[in-house]
Amino acid sequence: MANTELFYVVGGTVPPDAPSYVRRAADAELYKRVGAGDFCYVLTTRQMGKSSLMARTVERLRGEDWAVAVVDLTEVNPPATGEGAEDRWYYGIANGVAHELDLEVNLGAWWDERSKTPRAQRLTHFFSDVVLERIARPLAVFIDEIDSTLGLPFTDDFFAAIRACYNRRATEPAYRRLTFVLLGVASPSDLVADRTRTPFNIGRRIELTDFTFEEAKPLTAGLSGDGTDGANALRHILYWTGGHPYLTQKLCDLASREEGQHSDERIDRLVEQEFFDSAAIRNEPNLRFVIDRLTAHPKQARRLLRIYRRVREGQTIADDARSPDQNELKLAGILKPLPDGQLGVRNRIYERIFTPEWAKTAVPPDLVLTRARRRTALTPRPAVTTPQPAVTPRARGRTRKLRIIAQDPAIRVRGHIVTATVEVPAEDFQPGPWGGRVQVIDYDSSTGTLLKPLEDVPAEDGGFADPFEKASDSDLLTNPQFHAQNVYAIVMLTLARFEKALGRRIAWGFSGHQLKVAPHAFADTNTFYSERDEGLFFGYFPTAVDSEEPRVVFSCLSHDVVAHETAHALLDGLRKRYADPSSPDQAGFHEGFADVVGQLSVFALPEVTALLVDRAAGARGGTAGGRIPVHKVTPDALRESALLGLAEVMGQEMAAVRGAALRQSVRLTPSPKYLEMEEFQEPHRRGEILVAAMMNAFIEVWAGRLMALGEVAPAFLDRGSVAEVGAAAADFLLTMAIRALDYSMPVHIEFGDYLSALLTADREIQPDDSKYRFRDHLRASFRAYGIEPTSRRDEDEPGVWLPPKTDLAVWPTGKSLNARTPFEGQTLDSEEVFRFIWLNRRELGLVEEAYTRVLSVHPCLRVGRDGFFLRETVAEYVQSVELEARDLRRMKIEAPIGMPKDMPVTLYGGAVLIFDEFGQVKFSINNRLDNDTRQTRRLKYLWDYGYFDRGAGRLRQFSYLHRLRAGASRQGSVVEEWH
Amino acid sequence: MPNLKPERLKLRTYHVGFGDCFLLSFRYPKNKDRHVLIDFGSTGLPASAGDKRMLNIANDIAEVSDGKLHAVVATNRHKDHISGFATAANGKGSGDIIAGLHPDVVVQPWTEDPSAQPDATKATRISSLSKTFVGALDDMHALAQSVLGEIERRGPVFGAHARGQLGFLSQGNLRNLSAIKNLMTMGKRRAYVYFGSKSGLDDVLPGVRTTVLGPPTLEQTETIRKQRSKDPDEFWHIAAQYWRFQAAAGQDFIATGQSPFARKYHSAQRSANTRWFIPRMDALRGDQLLQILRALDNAMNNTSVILLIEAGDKKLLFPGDAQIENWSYALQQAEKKPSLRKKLESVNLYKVGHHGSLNATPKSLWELFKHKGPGHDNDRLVTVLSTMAGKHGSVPSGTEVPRRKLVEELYRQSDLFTTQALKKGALFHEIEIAIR
Repeated sequence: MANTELFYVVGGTVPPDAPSYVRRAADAELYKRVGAGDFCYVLTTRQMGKSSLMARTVERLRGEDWAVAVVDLTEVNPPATGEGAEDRWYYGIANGVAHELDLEVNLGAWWDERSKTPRAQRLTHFFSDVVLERIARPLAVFIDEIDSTLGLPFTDDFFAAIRACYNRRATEPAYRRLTFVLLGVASPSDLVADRTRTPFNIGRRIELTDFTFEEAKPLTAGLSGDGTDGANALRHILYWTGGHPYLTQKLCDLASREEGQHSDERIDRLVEQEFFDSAAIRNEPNLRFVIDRLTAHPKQARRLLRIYRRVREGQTIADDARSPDQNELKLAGILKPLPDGQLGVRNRIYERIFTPEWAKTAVPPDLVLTRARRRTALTPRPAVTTPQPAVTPRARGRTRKLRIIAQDPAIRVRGHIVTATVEVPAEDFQPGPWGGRVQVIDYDSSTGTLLKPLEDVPAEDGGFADPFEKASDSDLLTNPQFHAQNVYAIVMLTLARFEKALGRRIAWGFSGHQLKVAPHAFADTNTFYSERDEGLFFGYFPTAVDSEEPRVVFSCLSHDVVAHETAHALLDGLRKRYADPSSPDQAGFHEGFADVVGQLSVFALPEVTALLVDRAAGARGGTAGGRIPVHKVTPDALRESALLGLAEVMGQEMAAVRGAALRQSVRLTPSPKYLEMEEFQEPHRRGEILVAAMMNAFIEVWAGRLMALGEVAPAFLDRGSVAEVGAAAADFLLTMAIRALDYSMPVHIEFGDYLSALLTADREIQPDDSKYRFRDHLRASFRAYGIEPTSRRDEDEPGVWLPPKTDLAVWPTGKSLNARTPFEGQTLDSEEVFRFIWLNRRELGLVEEAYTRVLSVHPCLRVGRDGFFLRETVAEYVQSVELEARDLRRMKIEAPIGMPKDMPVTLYGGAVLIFDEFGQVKFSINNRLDNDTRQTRRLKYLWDYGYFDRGAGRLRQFSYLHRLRAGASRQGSVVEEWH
Repeated sequence: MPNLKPERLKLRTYHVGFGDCFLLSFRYPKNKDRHVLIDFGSTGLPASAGDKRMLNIANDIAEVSDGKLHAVVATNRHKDHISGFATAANGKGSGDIIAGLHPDVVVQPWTEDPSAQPDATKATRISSLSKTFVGALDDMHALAQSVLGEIERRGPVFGAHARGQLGFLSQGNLRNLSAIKNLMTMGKRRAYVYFGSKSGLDDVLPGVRTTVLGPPTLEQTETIRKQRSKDPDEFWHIAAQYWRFQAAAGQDFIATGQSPFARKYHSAQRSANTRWFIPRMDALRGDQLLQILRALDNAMNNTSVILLIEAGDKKLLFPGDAQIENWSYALQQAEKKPSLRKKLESVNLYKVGHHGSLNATPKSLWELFKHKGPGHDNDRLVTVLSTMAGKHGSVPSGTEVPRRKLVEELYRQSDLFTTQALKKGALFHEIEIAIR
């Protein structure tokens, strides 16, 4: 064996001076054409040696005193969406060129000064006024990975700009010194649609072909020795690879690593092992690229595979450079034109793997599924047997990006809907979207229409795709599949927030795992979560005919509404008993908490805070240079501009869905009186108090944190930073709001309990709160609304839950808890926890005549704002006892006036136990069943509001509460009715 | 005729099934009678009634009144209160007959005032807020009409019970144009009343005092509304907007069954994985429609005229379909004003509100009535119930009309007459009341 460690280069760029560099006709051709000042392009499939060709040509040109700039568009090209994306992209190219050429220019200032010039023109000017002014030598600009422009909406202008540089040669001779080379995996017609603007018809196509034996001869060097005739081995390798540059390098490399002679048989065996093994097929990037490229778009895939099959079966098909499908097959690298003008399979390796049978069955799974359903809709879904080689996703990230409407379609900037790209946990979904936790079923029950599901088509590189990444506003509004994506993404985002905040998986409020979502459930303004139906239901309705701009309002497109309903479904899973009637606070909590989640989710999007800050700065607000005056970011000013501002720009129509919650809670000027007022005994009004307290704390934190920002000019702050701080504050507060649920008792929550839970949850993970001062602001804000923490702890950290008074010394193993034994398996078992509770029943304050049930045991791993970890285990238990009204007195509980003595009454109590990582109980957050004050209060409330009556069940339905909230009807006094 | 006083009165309760129709006849000296017709409508005639029941009643009214009505009261615009006033193209409808009795005055709630209509151009004392509310009532009619379309198209998926309820409620809330027009034109005068306003009956019924206890105006309602810290304009506008959108949804999508999305997005097949969910959604839709229809039905009921008629020592209370929301203002005023409270306490005859539904005889009102009680004496409270079971609400949900618990109480504490006790074929029941 020769010493070939570094001889062959498998994948990536072959260095220009590498001995294994294979010179082809294209090398001379490209060098010659660039030298002549021709516009050149190398568009072909992957792993053909484009980059190697470029590297070598660049080196040769530089050696002859050319100035050369190489711009890799994937580096310029972070997903170019949102405002300013186009500007960033063009600027990125100019910046790349300037950097490559070491130009001394303040490009940022130069670029900004010409902000009125169209970007493509600015780029042309950049070449004439900056580059050619400073560089007197001939200049070549290589633009690599040109296919990354595919799908960007503004790149036609870019190609037009290149063409313009050539057109100007006639009048501006300096341009004759400038030439361009484009490289990538695309066909010219894919890159630019408009024939009058494309440079490709004035340029030279450089054909990169597979290696011929003559060309590949340098490769024999690594194969010779050990009695082997390198040329023979290479010939047999080329027999398999057909000269495919990557496969050839790879096979040479593999062979060279083998001891002994490189006989044909050995090479055959190598090919067998490396390419024809099913695992190898999954792992070989080249094969994966071919498959992914062919099957990326289900519809096109069927056509492509049909053509391929015919060729593979030996039918004669003439090569036609104008056929888009043939071009696509060539770009995938599976077919190539043969010398006789026919199409042929690229090489024998492909021929063996991609058989006619494979081509028949390799239609993407989604399509197979759809067909199978059509055939036999009643039988259970057939197992999709994806043939080998199958579509295997490439290494995909942990999240996928999806475009959503930032708040709702009513919020516009310069007439355009404001969208945001959010990252949700990665999964490829079945048609719906139907993922692991959410199934969107787009059925409209008022018209009986089932709409087509959104299918998950992978991106060309096998990664996740966002089908609406560049969709127009009109498509966003009229394509129900975008609506499906919007609800899917927001539900997943909200779920991810909960899971992140609580540090574990969270179940929905029903026994299944997948929440059903109907984005267009009915022509109705109502929108709700229904536990019974395991789903979220969003209505739609037209604005009235007499409105200024008649259109259909889809509540599934309002971010806060979707997040609100998802929060109901999650809270219902976390605290089942909070949907029970108990007190005005508990009735208001579900609504208020869901509102807090809905609103903070929106504020946590920097796109939204930026927009509100811009509005606050106003047209004349001194925003030039991205500044905002300090007096516009005081708490009062932010309350007005951000909270009220958002309320005002939200679709007015949505008040028919959610009431005017945000506006009302902003207007609820702090006062401790609300809690006692009769109107605030109603659930949705009660909830507004909680929302007001939370949102005011948010504003105070935001404004407070801004004071720490440095001024960019006297009495001015940087506008972008103001927006970022706001979004971050909203995000943190939302995490706190969710995390607090774990520190809230499982039954009968009141606002004071929730405040203590908020403070404790945050203190545990973030002992030092000096940066944002969330806890100080929360205490102050809640106090202003008359809400004091239930925990009267008044030391270092007022309002935080107290640790248990007595030592809970008995652990099921009999060991003392102080024995710092690691605490693992036991916590997962509710029987173990029950035993622990039972043995400690006196210390925990259980009522002995009641039954006790452990509801859940959850180990959690939480992450703080500063990345600090906290391991805890949370266990919930409830106690219940059934009595008659006459028994209450014995427990010092007063029966409501008028309640018959034999009326059956169920009392509940319960607690959350928080164990630390050693199994020590840190907190026992308890609502004791025998708390006579609370139980008396609760029974009176239930009695007064008719919850002991038949038919009162409806009062607990979210659908009913939401309709009340929208003002459709009002809850009459139940005591006046004949129950 | 300053001292003219009625000597006795008769109350004829016509058998209209689910509906109201009462003829009050006051006997004055020298056998002069004055007649007041309170409501004339039905949403479900008794099975035995035959198709001429409404005409027969109209003819009976014409005969008893000797060709002259002194007043007509239409307590609210629900079909079960005004369908009898509908006219026919041939001029021979039951409404034509009533119009031919030339009532001196037609009494209706303020919401029927033409100048309260949203399109009214005449400047009046009616606030724009009130117009907004009246506009919402129109939207409710329109929605009921659209819902009928949905029930026709999709009825079976809702199940028999829900379908029956939906049909009944949407039928009952349709706009009855000819009846409304007839009521607007038949009288010499029209009175649009609200709590505390003149009843319009004083001139035509000498010696009788009629107090209007409802409906309250929006402004009156505001003073007792629970949600008072909210801007009232905003509250009513949001509520009105709600109904406007519902009506628009009705018109654009519900009535026609037209999806808002292009056909290319429609799925031809219901795949297996949607089959669990779709029937649930259909049932849910049925529930939702019922909620919406009940809400609008209640809103209409709460526009009902409530009249307290005093003749000599007798007091008669006719609350139409008023429910608690409507009653709240009057009951609150009764707490403040002893004289009003006293009047309510001494009611002798109570027309049971809204066909005996669970929330149209507020318990606190019932508690006030002093003439009720288990003992059968001459002074005992008389209650009159015009109703038909099995049309409205359901027993399992405790919403059946008439509500059993209420009927039991009425039997226990008063002399109850219910139209359900009428024999097959009987057109009416008559009570005579002496006046001292």
